[in-house]
Amino acid sequence: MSDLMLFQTALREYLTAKRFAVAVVVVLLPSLLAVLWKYTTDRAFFDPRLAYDALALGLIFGFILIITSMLAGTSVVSQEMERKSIVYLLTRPVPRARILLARFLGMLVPAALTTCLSAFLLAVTCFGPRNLSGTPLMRDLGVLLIGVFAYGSLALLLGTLLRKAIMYAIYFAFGWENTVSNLPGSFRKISIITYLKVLAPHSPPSNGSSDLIEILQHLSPPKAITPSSAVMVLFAVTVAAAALAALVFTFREYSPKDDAA
Amino acid sequence: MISLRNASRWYGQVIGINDITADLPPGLTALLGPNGAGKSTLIKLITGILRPTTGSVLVFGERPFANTKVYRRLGYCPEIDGLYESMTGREFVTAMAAVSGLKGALLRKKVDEAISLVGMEAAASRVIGGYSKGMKQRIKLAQAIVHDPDVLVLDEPLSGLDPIGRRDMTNLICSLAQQGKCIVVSSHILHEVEQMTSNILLLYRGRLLASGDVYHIRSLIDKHPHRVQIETSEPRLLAAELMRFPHVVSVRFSDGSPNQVEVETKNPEAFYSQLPDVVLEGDFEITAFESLDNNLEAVFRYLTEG
Repeated sequence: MSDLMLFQTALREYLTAKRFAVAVVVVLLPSLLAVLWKYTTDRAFFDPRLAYDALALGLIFGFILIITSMLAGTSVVSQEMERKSIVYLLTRPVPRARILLARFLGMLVPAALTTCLSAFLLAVTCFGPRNLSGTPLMRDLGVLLIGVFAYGSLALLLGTLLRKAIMYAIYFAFGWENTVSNLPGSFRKISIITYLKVLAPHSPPSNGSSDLIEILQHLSPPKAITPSSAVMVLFAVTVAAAALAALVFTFREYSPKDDAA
Repeated sequence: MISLRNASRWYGQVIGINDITADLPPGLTALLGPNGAGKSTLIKLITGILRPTTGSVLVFGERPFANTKVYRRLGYCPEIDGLYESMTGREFVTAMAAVSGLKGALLRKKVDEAISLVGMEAAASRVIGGYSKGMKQRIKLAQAIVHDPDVLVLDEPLSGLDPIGRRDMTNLICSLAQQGKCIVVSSHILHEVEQMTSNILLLYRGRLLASGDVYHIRSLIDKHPHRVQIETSEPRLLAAELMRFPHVVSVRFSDGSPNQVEVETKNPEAFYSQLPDVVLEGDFEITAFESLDNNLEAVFRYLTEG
């Protein structure tokens, strides 16, 4: 009962009017861009797979997945701290790890729904509602769920450790992930997006020219990552980050700032 | 129920509380002190939100930090208004009751009882975001008492309440204390506390300045004679009679109120036992009588200002 209540409370917080409005925009954005692409291109030259891959890779995997998961993960603790309501939860007879994980799941469910719904609508827009079989949609939905948990867990850990966690989460998401995943050699193995790309490969649109990163990657080709090892790494990251977050939350003091001393 | 042994808490270089040893028995105990005295820090140590840097804080014989056994029997009403603004009062109290382990019909009954006790039946179905400060105070108290805790820690519970709200809240807190619960109330407004209890812990700059019964503490302060103000139609005659007592050290007449006499005595008990005889023998008409020092304001002033 207590876990369910914590889950519901977190879920409800995520679904406030402001956040809901943002979620609607996020859900619709890729499909709106696909519609624009479709109607600004000559019908004969419109390639549904190319449009889907480009928007899924750039917008859904590269932006929506990361930002929604990071926001959800960091909000678990930071929202309670900012509102100063954390004291109500910490003085209840529920182990702190359970408080954290119940709230985490409550925050992650709408993040996963937002991400998956945007991918679904993009696929419907590109391929049409009756032509979804044989498309990468189902695979992508599964990989997006894995990604939500992986990014969310890392953000959860940041949220338990740092006061301004969302800032660090954004640096990580758009600095680290975008840079490291494009570096040559084995550097890319220390970014989550690399493993997600292994599980859900999308061909990026090519303009026929090679940039510096592509040249470097050709000079130092990375060892291939198998899908099974990608799943294992993502699972390990998720479990390790969530467990570490639970441990930190159990032993660390959380006292709203204005109230201290 | 609550035991502090040489408890200190530092925030980096800043001290929150320093070497406090005290036992808080069942009944009502007030934590008194000006802002920054360390009341909130002490409350956070008791509720296990913080850990002491040195020394120990025990509640029911256990360390309270992240201790679910302690939280089963502890209710906390924080000073801050950090509430779930989009919830209704009833939803908030229900959520807190559920997280405290209450279920089904018992949960509903306890929520109704708690809301009724704090007088929030009419406003319980409104969202907390639209509550006044006083309503927030009441709903915070409701969530603290909903699981019927043995120890109740209330940080500035009267702040923001109107006079009627203060009276109701004071009565409620006193009635909970009479049920044998251990209640810790913090306040920096001395007369508020005086109406609830005489058992105090007086904090100043992180140190425990005094503890125990406020009147007893006052009687220990020999340095400052006890002051009594008497209003009579014959102030000079009464003053002459009172000056015969060896324990009376001074008598003053008020400039603004010519009928008032302010007496200072080193032995208040002897003074109070002898005063009726003096009044009867001299046939003095006493129209007002007030002890100026049997209040917390005076105790606090003497202890802090020396």
